[in-house]
Amino acid sequence: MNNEENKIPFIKTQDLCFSYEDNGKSIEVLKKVNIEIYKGEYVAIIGHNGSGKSTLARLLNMILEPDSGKIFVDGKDITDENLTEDEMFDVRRRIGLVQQNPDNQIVATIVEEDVAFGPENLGIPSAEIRERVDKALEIVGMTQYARYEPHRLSGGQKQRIAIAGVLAMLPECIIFDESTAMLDPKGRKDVLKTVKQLNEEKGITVITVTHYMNEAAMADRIIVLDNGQVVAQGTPAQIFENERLLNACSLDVPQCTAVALGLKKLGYNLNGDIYDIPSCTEAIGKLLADTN
Amino acid sequence: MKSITFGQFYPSSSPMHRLDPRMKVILAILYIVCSFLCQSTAAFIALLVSSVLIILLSNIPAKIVLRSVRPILIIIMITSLINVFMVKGEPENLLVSWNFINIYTEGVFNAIFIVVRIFALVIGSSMFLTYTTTPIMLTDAIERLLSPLHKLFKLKVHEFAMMMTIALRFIPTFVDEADKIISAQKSRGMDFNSGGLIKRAKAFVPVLIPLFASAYHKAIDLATAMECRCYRGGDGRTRMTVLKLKPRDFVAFLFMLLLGVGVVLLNRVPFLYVM
Repeated sequence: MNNEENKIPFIKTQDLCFSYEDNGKSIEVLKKVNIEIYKGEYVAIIGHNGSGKSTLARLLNMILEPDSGKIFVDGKDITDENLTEDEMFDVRRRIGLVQQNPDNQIVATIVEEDVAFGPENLGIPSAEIRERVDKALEIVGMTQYARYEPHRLSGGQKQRIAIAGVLAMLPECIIFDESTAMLDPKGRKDVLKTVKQLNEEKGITVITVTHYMNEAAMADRIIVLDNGQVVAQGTPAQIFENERLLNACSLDVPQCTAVALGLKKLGYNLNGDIYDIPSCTEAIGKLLADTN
Repeated sequence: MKSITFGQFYPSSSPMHRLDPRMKVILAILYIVCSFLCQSTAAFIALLVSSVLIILLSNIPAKIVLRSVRPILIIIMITSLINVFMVKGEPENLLVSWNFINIYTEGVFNAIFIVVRIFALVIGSSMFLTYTTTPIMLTDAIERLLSPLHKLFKLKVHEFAMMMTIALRFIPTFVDEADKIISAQKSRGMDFNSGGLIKRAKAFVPVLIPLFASAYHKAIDLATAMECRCYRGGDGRTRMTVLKLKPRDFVAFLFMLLLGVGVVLLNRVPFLYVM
């Protein structure tokens, strides 16, 4: 879905600025950010702590309001003063957000009640809520936990419940704000699998905010934020090629890319774009076969 | 600590558990009213029998039922003793007279009546509500029962119920968190188990402050999560589970009315003693 310039972007920001007051002085978090996200894309926004990536995520679904600049969703300006409350809630429905801490975003005391929270707020008829909840739980693979109390679930399971809660509102786009940062490796793997499946099978646009390069490598496109500005955009291969840029933004390259770059420095000629385990093993395997 | 169930809910599928929570709230109130209507020995016997029936219908083990009565045992004893010694009856009903202590039949009966009444109050509220209804269902029932008040007097019924729900939801989370903080403070040499009452209470200040700070963070996160999921208060909100009154709820209501009528009629029966 990349590089379709002729299509209107699903989300587009125009000179987006945001700052907050701290002890009487204003701190600029975002400085004229221009990004475009297309329907069905899987975009990773990376940047070190304080680069403004979480703020950007919260601006996109109107949890925060920008100081200046515009945000267009499906061509409609959502920063318009005349935007009605219903239109604002519709934006929030279409663009869901899954946060970092799995404990802090579950509202109800029973899993299925929590998943129903979103559709209940939208005023959906009861029978349809039931259908949506069952379907959302099925998609994230948590059907057998429908009647559980959330505190009995693991972190990864709680995050999948949070995803189901967003899915039940039938969103077109889901923003994951460091949603795997507090999970163990198993939980992280399960959540990432769910995210990828949502993007590929359900066609949901995914924006993932992360500082894990291995996760960013899963995306179609990466946007690098540093100091409140977009410093680079491109495919994972294009971004990870530029080690100097990443270092300047206090970011790492994914481990596999680091291995490949190290081997290249030693004089081994690795071919192809290497940013995940399959591409890395393939390239090294090919190299070994060639040298034999 | 993970397995704590809050409140006193006792899981079962007894007839009492299966009643509609809204009906149970109404029944509990009616039962309390019934217990205050009782004025004769016959009526109190009926009340006692109904209490036993209610316990049997809720399928709660006698041991647990007695445990719910235990905390108020002292109150029951004191009030009944006061009644025995202080109530002045007709001179011909004097049972014991020794020095300045006079015990009348009226006093003895009043004491017994008070014991039965308090017992019925406790059984009524705990069997209908806390033991057979989860806190969340109770909150839900209260919200739905009080929703007319929202329309009439603009009372924030939904907001109140939402607060209760969130509080209940976060109890286990905070228990976990408190455990972690206590461990962290212990590993820094904090002593929670020695010294007098005041010293021990003071030892918990370094636990409460981080817990409080974390509650603020959680509140901000939760508010964001709720906003993201289009929460805008109770207006226009629908519910996934629709509570529907079933025939058994009406049967239970009918029995409660019968008890009320029965008590009123039994109050006129001149058996043993009538207040």
